[in-house]
Amino acid sequence: MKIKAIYKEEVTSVRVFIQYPTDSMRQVGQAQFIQELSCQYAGNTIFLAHLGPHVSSSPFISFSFKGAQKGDRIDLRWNDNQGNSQKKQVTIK
Amino acid sequence: MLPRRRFIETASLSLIALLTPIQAIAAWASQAFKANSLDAAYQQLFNSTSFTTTRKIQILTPQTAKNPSAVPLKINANLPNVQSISIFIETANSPLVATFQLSATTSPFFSTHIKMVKTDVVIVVVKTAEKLYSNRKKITLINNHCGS
Repeated sequence: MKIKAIYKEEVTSVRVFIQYPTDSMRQVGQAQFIQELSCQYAGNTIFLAHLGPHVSSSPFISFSFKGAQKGDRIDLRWNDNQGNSQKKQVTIK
Repeated sequence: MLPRRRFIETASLSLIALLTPIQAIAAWASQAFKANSLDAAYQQLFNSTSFTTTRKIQILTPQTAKNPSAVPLKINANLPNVQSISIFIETANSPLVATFQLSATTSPFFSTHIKMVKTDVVIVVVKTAEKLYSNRKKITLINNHCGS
């Protein structure tokens, strides 16, 4: 999961790229897709995406929010329909 | 020492208790994603099938897409108090593509990539604190990669 969070003029824009499925996860004959991507800032969920199988397999998702400062941290987490999940914390630049 | 049966019971119960919070977080809208018609998906998600059509929802995408496995989609909902934005493909087997829930501080603008098997209409439904709005756009898919 590659994340960029950039602060500019009161708005923090977040770009998320999830390499999915990775080779170690790939299972033959099973529909695999990311079900959920969430972003938390200061204990609140600011962005929650429920994704279906029609979303591209290595999704690139971007969104933006207000209220954060440079140097603050955000937590991102995704999980798929097979029980895999990943968490990552990034600092806003 | 606990008898074996009791041990297994307590162990499995505590395991369930441990797993529950994760399950609770992953409350994925499976019924809406499984719905095989637009109206059924709408009903699952919004409890309603009538929306106000507005041009304030901008669907920014190329009119023709060349790569069916990654059609770029940018959505800008120029409306106040947006709570969620959902994307549908009109004639797909399961029309719901994704639904995004936003907080009050999140801008109602985002981008993603979707898969499309053929030329189809993308419908975006925006739920605000007051009302449901929607807009649609046809995306033409060029199947041969020589097309320009």
